[in-house]
Amino acid sequence: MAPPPSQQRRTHNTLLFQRLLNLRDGASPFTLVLDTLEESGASLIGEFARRAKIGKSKIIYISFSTLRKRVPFEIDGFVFGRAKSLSILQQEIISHIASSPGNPQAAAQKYLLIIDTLNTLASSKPQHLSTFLSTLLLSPNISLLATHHTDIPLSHLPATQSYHPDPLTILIYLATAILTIHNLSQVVAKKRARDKSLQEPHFGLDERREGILIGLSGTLGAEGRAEVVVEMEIRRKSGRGILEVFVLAPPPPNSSIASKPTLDNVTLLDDHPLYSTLPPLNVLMGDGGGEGEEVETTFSLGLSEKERRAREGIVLPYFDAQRDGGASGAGMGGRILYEMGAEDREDFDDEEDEI
Amino acid sequence: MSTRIPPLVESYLALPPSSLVLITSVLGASSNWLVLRFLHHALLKQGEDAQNETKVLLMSFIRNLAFWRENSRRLGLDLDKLIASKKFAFVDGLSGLFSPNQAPTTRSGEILLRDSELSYVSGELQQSIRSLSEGGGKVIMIIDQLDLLLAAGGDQVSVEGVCDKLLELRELVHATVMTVSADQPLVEVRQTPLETNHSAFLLGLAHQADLAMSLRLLDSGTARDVSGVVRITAGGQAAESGKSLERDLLYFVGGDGVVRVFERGQ
Repeated sequence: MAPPPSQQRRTHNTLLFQRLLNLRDGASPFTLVLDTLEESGASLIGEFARRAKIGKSKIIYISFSTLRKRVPFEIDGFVFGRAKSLSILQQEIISHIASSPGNPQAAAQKYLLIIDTLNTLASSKPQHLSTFLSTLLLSPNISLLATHHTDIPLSHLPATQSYHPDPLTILIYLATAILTIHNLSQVVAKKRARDKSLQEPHFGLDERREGILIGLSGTLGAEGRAEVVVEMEIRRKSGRGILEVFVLAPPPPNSSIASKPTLDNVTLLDDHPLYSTLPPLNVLMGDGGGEGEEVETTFSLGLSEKERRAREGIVLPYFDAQRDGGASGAGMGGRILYEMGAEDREDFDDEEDEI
Repeated sequence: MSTRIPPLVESYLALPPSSLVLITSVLGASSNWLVLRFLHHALLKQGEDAQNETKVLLMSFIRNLAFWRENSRRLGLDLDKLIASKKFAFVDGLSGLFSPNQAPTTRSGEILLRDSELSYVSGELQQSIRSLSEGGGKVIMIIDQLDLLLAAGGDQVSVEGVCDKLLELRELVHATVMTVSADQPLVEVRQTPLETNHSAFLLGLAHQADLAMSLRLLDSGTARDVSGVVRITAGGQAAESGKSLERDLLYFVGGDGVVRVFERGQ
């Protein structure tokens, strides 16, 4: 028997994401990571770097806003991108990529180019952005991983450039995979509001409160350590895009053995325990957020596990009548479904006799 | 002396190597008290070991040395003495930035900026960092309201230029503390060049920061015993463990310069 479609989707999309993370045979030459102040893409970049290390790829870090000492993982080359013309920058990057066509081993060497932020280039040289990025991808063994912070506005452009498309639009057009980062607790809080048909809460800059830049993400308890939500869009060669939302969780700290690097766990957001079944609010928001939510009474208003299961098992009658159109097609939605039982028939006959 | 630093804030004042702390303020919730606590924390606990000494370079664009001297004295910090012993240097970006001829004369250890040209400003800063770090020790750079230079510097001061120079300077020092205004029109409106540039500069810094401390007024209006709220969050570059630090704290600045920091309901 074929697996159910949900299972198929889970396996298929997780596999795609793993392929992307592992940079398997040019899964995506140009991966664009979009993040905001609410959740940084750093942990995702770190995961790419860890896997590249295992896969013996060389990592070249192109920095526009990171100090050399602050690169959080081991790298094979560092290029400082600030205040340099694009052609010089390009030469410096390419000098790190060994090109010896005679040596098959060197030719098969894979490279991962990481750009810490594209915002600087997007502001200063928007018209050369696409050319620059595409010239970096010299061979199929090179993958480019670049971050763009979506909440930083472009610094003011001269009037001649206001007719060009927005740099972010160009980047999204160029990218073969787009990974958008969200904060897990905020995603969960928004879903909870949606489920109750309430207005979704806003965080950080969207709160529009003076003086607030970064929202409090709220603690998710022990399991919410550093999980991030990654929205993946992979563009296939055919042009078909595949969308999926994952939760990336770092390995538990006790399992990391010094000799063997551990990898992050990837789960579908729909399968994540916090997202699929909703825990009580006070667990979710830490101790501060849940105040006033529970009504204080002397009665126990909650359900025991057995009662909950029993409640879920109940099938309410005439469910199909509530569906749009009803079970038997459009226009039959309001029908009264009634089948005569034996007792009814008796009653009916009696009445008939009396008449 | 340690009682002058509110215990709830104290753990955030320690600066790890190459870190950047961003303090944002709004009109009515000024960041001066927090900058003074950083100064106090860095300068007061001095060991005998010259290699581990902390030195501070303070650059201020909207307040002069007299202001900082007066307020640090209340915390038991004698800036003049520290200047004499080469543990503290002050760069004045207020008195002579646009009026070089009327500027007052300066004493040693105090540098007066006489031009808003970017390479000149960063050159002066580099020079004072170098002279401070002579003889070992860690230099902490505190830049107060660099956004003024961006706003008033005209066309020659661009966001990219300021960020480039700032990164160059950060390479030279142990850690950096920046204060920037975050009033709503400067962050969200983004229509005029001033607004967009400020917003790009501020948010770019927040992405580079390890720790962000945002000061704002009390959401529910003014109160007699609360001056404002400080929200402490991890910045864009923070390590994984940084997330557990996030919190909102209330603070109160008394007339005598004493600051109390407490949690809601305390």
